[in-house]
This record gives sequence, structure tokens and C-alpha cells, in this order.
Amino acid sequence: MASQIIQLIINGVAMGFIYALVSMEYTIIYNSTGLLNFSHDKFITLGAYIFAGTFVLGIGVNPIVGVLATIITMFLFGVIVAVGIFNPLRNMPSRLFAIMGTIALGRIISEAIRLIYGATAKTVPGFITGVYRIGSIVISKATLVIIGVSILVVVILQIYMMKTKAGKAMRCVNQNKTAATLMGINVSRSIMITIAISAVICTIIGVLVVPLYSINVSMSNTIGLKGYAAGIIGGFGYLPGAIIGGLLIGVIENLSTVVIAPVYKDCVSYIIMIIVILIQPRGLRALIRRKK
Amino acid sequence: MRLKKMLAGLLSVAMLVSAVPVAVSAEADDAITFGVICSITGNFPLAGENTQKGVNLALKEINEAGGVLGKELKVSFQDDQGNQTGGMNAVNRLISEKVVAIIGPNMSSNVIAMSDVVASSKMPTLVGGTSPKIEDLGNEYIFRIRPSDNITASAAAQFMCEEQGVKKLGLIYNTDDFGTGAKGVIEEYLADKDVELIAEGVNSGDTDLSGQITKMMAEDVEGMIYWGHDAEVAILARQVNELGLEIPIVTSGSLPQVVSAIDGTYIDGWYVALDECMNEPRKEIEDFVEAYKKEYEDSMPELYAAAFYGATKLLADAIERAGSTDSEAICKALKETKDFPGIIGAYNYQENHDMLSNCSIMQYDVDKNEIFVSNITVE
Amino acid sequence: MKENKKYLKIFLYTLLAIVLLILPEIISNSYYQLLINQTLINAIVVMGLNYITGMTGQMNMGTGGIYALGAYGMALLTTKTGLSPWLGLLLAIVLGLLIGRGLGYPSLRISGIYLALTTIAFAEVVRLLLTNWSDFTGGAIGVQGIPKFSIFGYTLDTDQKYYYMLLVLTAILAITAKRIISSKWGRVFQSIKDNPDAAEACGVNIAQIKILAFTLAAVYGCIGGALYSCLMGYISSNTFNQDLSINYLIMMMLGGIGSVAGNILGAGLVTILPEMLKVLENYYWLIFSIIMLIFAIFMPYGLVSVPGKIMRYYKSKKKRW
Repeated sequence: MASQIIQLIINGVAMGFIYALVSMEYTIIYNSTGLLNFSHDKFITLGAYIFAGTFVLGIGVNPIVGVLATIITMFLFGVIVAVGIFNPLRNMPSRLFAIMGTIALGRIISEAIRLIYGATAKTVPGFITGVYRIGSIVISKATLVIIGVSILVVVILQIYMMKTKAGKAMRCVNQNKTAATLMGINVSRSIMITIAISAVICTIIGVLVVPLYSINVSMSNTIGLKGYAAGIIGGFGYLPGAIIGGLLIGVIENLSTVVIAPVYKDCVSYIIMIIVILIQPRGLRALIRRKK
Repeated sequence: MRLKKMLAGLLSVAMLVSAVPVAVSAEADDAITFGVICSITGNFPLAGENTQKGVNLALKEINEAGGVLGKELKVSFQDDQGNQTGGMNAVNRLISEKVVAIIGPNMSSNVIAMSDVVASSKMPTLVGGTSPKIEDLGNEYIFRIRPSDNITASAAAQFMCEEQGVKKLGLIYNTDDFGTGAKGVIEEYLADKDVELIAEGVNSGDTDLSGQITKMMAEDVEGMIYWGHDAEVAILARQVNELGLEIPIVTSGSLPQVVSAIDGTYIDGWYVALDECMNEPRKEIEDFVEAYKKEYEDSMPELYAAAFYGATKLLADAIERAGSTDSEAICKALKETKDFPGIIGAYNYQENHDMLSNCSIMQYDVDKNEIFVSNITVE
Repeated sequence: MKENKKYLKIFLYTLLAIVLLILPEIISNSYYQLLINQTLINAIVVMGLNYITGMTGQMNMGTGGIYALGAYGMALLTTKTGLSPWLGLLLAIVLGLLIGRGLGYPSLRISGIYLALTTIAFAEVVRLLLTNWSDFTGGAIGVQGIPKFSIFGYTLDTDQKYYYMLLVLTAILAITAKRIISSKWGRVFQSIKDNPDAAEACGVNIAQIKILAFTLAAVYGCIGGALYSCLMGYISSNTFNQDLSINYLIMMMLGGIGSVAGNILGAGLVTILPEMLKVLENYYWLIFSIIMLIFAIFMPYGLVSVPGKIMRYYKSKKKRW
């Protein structure tokens, strides 16, 4: 029983880091544009397909080169989306239009994927496979890679936001667009870079889940929604909270399978999210800020 | 202002009415058209893609051999988007196009949804839905061209108990109609046998099955059946290996759908209970595989392609035997079907409108080769 | 000039009524009849959504959940107890009142993105419960044999006959919606969207109004769901997914936010356009999505804004002359 619980926690932490990355990826867009990217799960799928379908299986490059090439492609894709879609949507009179716009974008991406790559599920053979055993506990390599890479992404993003000029500009834009414009910051360009970075994080998520799932059109639907739950629990728009929220959801929903039927696992995350919204909409952020 | 809205209202009506001429009149003199309903978009696009391939290949062969009743055979594909509303729209559209018969859909819930429409328009329909619920409909116009879950699931349980000698059987089933139907059948099969069943559900879209697998390990099951869909079986394969569950496992026909996406070492030695193994040494299958590879760049056919290829051939044969495209005549011909050599088995009409009563068990090796194990006929 | 306009209006109304009444005769095709019936049902649901999202500006992305509860309420009541569908419709209205309150209260504390995500989670929980609680709901196998409505012993057993009932209901609900929108309530709804603080300062009880908007929306949504389950005669849980909720938002936006005519137009467009686009075969859903994106960016106020734009364009031309 004890080892079963540890096992569930380990798998929960790995999924938790995925949720955390998902919630970071849309939080930075939300912070800088005030828009929620409802096509973010499709970005993840697209990243996985470009990596596996185009670079590794199509052209046949080494997976590491493939990851880099995919990141560059998706960065450019992010720039195009920012200029073509997010910038006009950002200035719309109602949020509703922006939500519709990103939903439409998501549908276009998933249909385009189906038409370009076909409906057959894909995988990259031998990409981060294998397990380590400690007693009766099994840790897959993919789990370790997910945890390592996630921490790396978090650290790099933090350094970028705190130390570089572009990162500082990004934080200014988050806080006050008018003031940022007056200070000579190019808001549109800052937003463009933010969306491109978000697309890159999506790519990383997409590549990280390749060893976990088969690559198919609906692979990221569930993690997309769970990412929202993670963001809410951590406090919307608050990056450290997003990470803690992701980990919490990953662990709690896995542990819940000990008590209730595993089929209700997804319900658990959503219900926690609704409860948090009703009791304290600011989530963990409220707790942390209060201590200060 | 009001005037503007009135204009808008009129515009909408005009739009509705103008939709009418889009209807394609299918009943041309020199061709016989049948409809195919499959999921082209939506959550199960793969089945639709393969269905189209299978049907198109059969169609090509039939027309090269002179068509049906001396006329060209044509097909109208309709997307059901993997949901019920899409399915109803598709079937009504085909009926209004006056097709002679319908093949598909392969989602059981859609088959049940459209049962009444099919019956009231007397449309011969060759469905691929495998839920046992379909035979309960008692619909005179629905013919099932794939083995019912009663048959495959029962065969899987039979294989586990008799050939593997399992005394404590695990079952991981999808909570939709497909999985729960199979669960019922397996429970029924085990009712009079000394075998304990540990069942755990899984949702479509679940991304982590470690909870279910750990449960199975904690219960020390000796063999396991997985009955669910494509995406989850891929996850199951990986996690079963990572967690180190080493027992014989039989899965539903979903495993072959994603086998290209699974590492071979994960599924080494796994069994699959499905309609047919494409490597069974039987002439119809060998011919079909060869033709399919020639048509589609050396790709190996799978279940849906084979099933709906066979269904198209069966339909053409039934129309030929009926001697007309009258729906009652086609139904009568379908009911007289005896030992028609389909790909996934010999079609024989049965009282419950099933055309098949046997299925195969096959096994994967580490290189993902499909090895034919046995062919089980269920009474 | 004014007299002329009045006569024209009466003429247009009569024409519209005649066209709608003889529509089944014009088309006499089960496929189009089904699509038109679906359009009417969808129009009801979208008119409901319009109260919350269109008028009051509260983001509701869980319409699918409301619709599902209405549909299952009808289906389970009629099939398990053998009661008349009219009672099912009544049950749907009661359910709508309850759900409206239930969803309305969270909206007092939260708004915007939070509300959007809460409603998504609500719809997802409903769907998962309907799928997994299979002893009661029939799970994914669904509920079969939902009876048809009958009026004084006359059963509406075909889609044509059902069309007239749907037409009457849609007309009643549309007129109600129009009345509400152009009444004091409608302006209060709008004031919450535009500036809640100012509205409150003017003595508007925001809490009460928000709950009212949600309740209206949920009642319309549940009625729509109940009518859908009678139209199909069978429902299964895989119909009520996230895509469905989003489709209703798309209908509202493509038609025109805040306008009843726009809602009906949008319902028709989203129900029928993909079916028409099916001539494009493999590409139809992609093309439909692209049309949606173009609308979102260039025509955010939907189809109803088009005649106005054209008129304004002509007027400005006239002036120049």
C-alpha cells in the first residue's frame, strides 16, 4: 500500500509538472494581452506533430536536432499568430470576440493537422524510453526528463523576465500598457515575443508528452483543461502559483484513485477548481501574499 | 431598426430555402449510389479514413469487373463527426439523396440513434457498430457486418480461461457503450465458471492509467483483458511495462489501430481479440492484402478497411442477387446470404441480424508482427 | 415615407409568417426538415445564452452542460416513468430554474475568465457524470425510446408535425426574449456589461439581475435540450461535449450578439452551413473554421450588422451625391 501510494505520487508529480507548464504557457499570454488562449492545447499538439511528423519521422533528423528545429518553427508560428490574430483581437471591444477568435484558431490548427499528417496516431520509437526500479517503485526515464526539463524551463523563464531588457519590458506591459507605451516600450512587439515564447513552451510540452501518449489530434485536450485548473488553484496570472497548482492537481487526482473509482479522477480536478473559485478566486496567491 | 432585423430574418429564411438546390440527385440512370457514414472529422478520424480506403478499393474492383446490374456503382461518403447529431444528419441526408443502401456507421450509439429513421425509410443498412444493444433493436433493416462485442469479448474471456488457464481475471474497460457492453458479456461468460473478475473503468481521454494498473497488481490478477479505445491502449501498454505487470493481456481491436505508435517491447506477447488477423493464411485475406498494398503505397490494411471492404462487396453481391435496387429486395437478398466470403469471415445471415459469429485471436511479437493464434467461434 | 415603411413592415412580417408556415411543404425532404428543426432548437438555446453572454456580458462556456441536463431530464422522466413529454418539458423548466440559480451564484463573486473556466468545468463534470453513472443515465449507451409529444391525442410523430410545435415554441420564446431585451430589464442587463459600478450606483441590484439572466439562460437551455431529446428519440452522453458549448457561442457571435434576430440567424448558419459545405468533402470543417475566424476578426457583430453597414454605406454615398 505504501509503495502504491509513493508510486501514485511520483506519477502525479510528473503529470503535475506538465500541468504546471501548460498553465505557465497560457498565463504569460494572459498577463501580457489579457486574453486567454483557448487554442493553447492545439499549439501543444501542433508542436508534437511538427517534432515527430515533420522532423524526426519525416526528414529523419536526430531527436535533439528535431527539438531545436521544432522550437524555431514554433517560435516563428507564434510570431505569425501574434501579428495576424492576437493583435487585432486584443483591441476588440469585448473579450468574447477574442475567445471566439482563439477557439476558431484552435479548430483550424487541429483540422490542418489532420489533413497534413493524416489521422494515424504516431510515435517516435525509442524516444526517452526505459525505467528505473527502486524496490517495487518504478520511475520511468520520461518522468525524470519531464521533471528536469520543466524545472529548467521555469528557471530560464524567470531569469529572462528578471534580468533581460525584453523580459523587463514584458513585465511592464503586464502591469500597465499605457505607462509602458509612454516609457517607450513597443507593446505590440513585446506581446509578439510573449506569444512566441508561449508557443515555444507549448512545443516543449508537446515533445515531453511524446513518450507518454501516442501523438494524435486529441492528445492534449485533457491536459489543456487541467492546465486551467492548475492556474486557477495557483492564482490566475501568478507564475509560481501556476507551478504549485499544477503539482497539487497532479498529485491529488492520482491519490484520489485510492479512495474513489479512477473514472472520476478528472471530475476531482474540476471540482477542486470550482471550489477554489468559489471560496478564494485568487487561489494560492492569496495565501502567499497574505503571509508577506 | 426593426426593418433591418426583418430583413435579417428574411435573409435567414432565404438561406434555408436556398440550401435546397445543394441536394445532389443521386438517382442517375447509369449509376447505383450507396451511402457510407463514417467519422471523417471529430475524435475518431482514423476509423473514417480507413473506412474510406476500404470502400474505395472495393468500389474500384467492382466497377472494373463491370459494376452492379450492368451499372456503375457509386458512393456518397457522409461525415458523422463522431457524434449523434452528425450521425442523424448524415443518415437523413443519404436518405434524401435516395441512395439504395447505407454502409456504416461504426459507432454503436449512432447506430441506435438512427435505427428509427432507417426503419421508417426502409433503408438497408450494413452497420459496423459492435454493441450487443444493436441486436436488441430488432430492426429489420439493420445488418451487422462485424462480430458483436458479445462475440469478441466472450472469445477474449474464453481464450483467457480455457487456453491460458486464468483463475483471477482483471478487466480494464472504457466506460462508454463499447467497454461497458463488453463488461456485461464477460461477467455473463464467467457467471458459471470458477473465475474471479476484478473490473476497473477508464474514461476516453484519460492520460494516466497507473491507478487502474496498480489496482490490478495489488489484486494479483493472473490475466487481464483491456476493452477500450485507441488513445488509452497506447498509454496502457507503456504503463503496464513501466509498472512491471507481467501477465497475459488480451485487448480489444483498438490495439492494432495504434500499434504504429507503440514501442514494440511494450506489447511483446500481447494478444488481441478482433474481427480478423490480416496474417491468417486464408485466400480472401491474402488477395485483399495484396490489392490493398498495391493501391495504397504498401500500407498494411487494418480492421476497418477490411470490414468495410467486405461490406461493400457483400452489398454489391446482394444487389446483384436481388436483381433490383428496391430496398425490400436488397434486404431479402441480404437475409439469404450464405457463406459469402467476406474478409473478416464468412457472412451468414442470422436471426439477430448479425452476419458474423466468429473472431480471431492474434498475438504481437517484439517487432510488432501480427501472429495468428486462433479463430474462435462463439455460439 | 413613414406610412410606406409601416406597410412594408407588415408585408414583410406576413411574408415571413407564410414562408415559415409552408416551409415543410416547400422542402418536403426529411434531411432539410431535420436540419430546420435543429435550427429552431438551437435558436432557443442561443437566445438563452444571449441573456448572459450577449446582454449581461458574463462568459458562459458551459451551455452544453445545461442543455445536457434538460435533455436527460426529459429522457429519463419519460422513459422511466412513462409520463407525458409535456411533464418532461415542465421538469426541464424546473431544472433550468435550479441550474440558473446554481450557476448564477458563483457569477456574483467571479466574472470574466474565472466564470468562463467555472462553466467549462461545470459542463465537463456533467458530461463525466452522465457517462459514468451508467446505472441511472444509461451511460454512453444512452437512453432509447424517448416518446413524441402529443396534443389532444394527436401525436406529433413526424419531423414535419414536430416542426410546427417547435415553430410555435420558438416564436413564443423569441417574442419573450425580444420583449425582455427591449424592456427595462434589457437595459439593466446591458448596463452590467458596460459598467457594473455605475449600474450599482444607480440603484440596480446587480446580484438579482445576474441571477435573473442566468436563470433565463438555463431555462431556455433546458427547454432546448428537452426538445432535442424528443426530436432525436435517443440521446447519448457523447453528444454533450465541449464542442457543443462552443458551437452555441459561435452561433451567437456569427449571428450577432445581443440581437434575437441575430441569434436565430446564427443558429441557422452554424447548423446548416457545415452541412452545405460538405460538398468540399475532406476540407469542409477546415473551411468552416476559417470562416469563423474571419468573422471573429472582421465582423465581430455578426450577420445582423451587415444590412446596417450596407445601409450606412449607401446613405453616405447618397449624401456625397
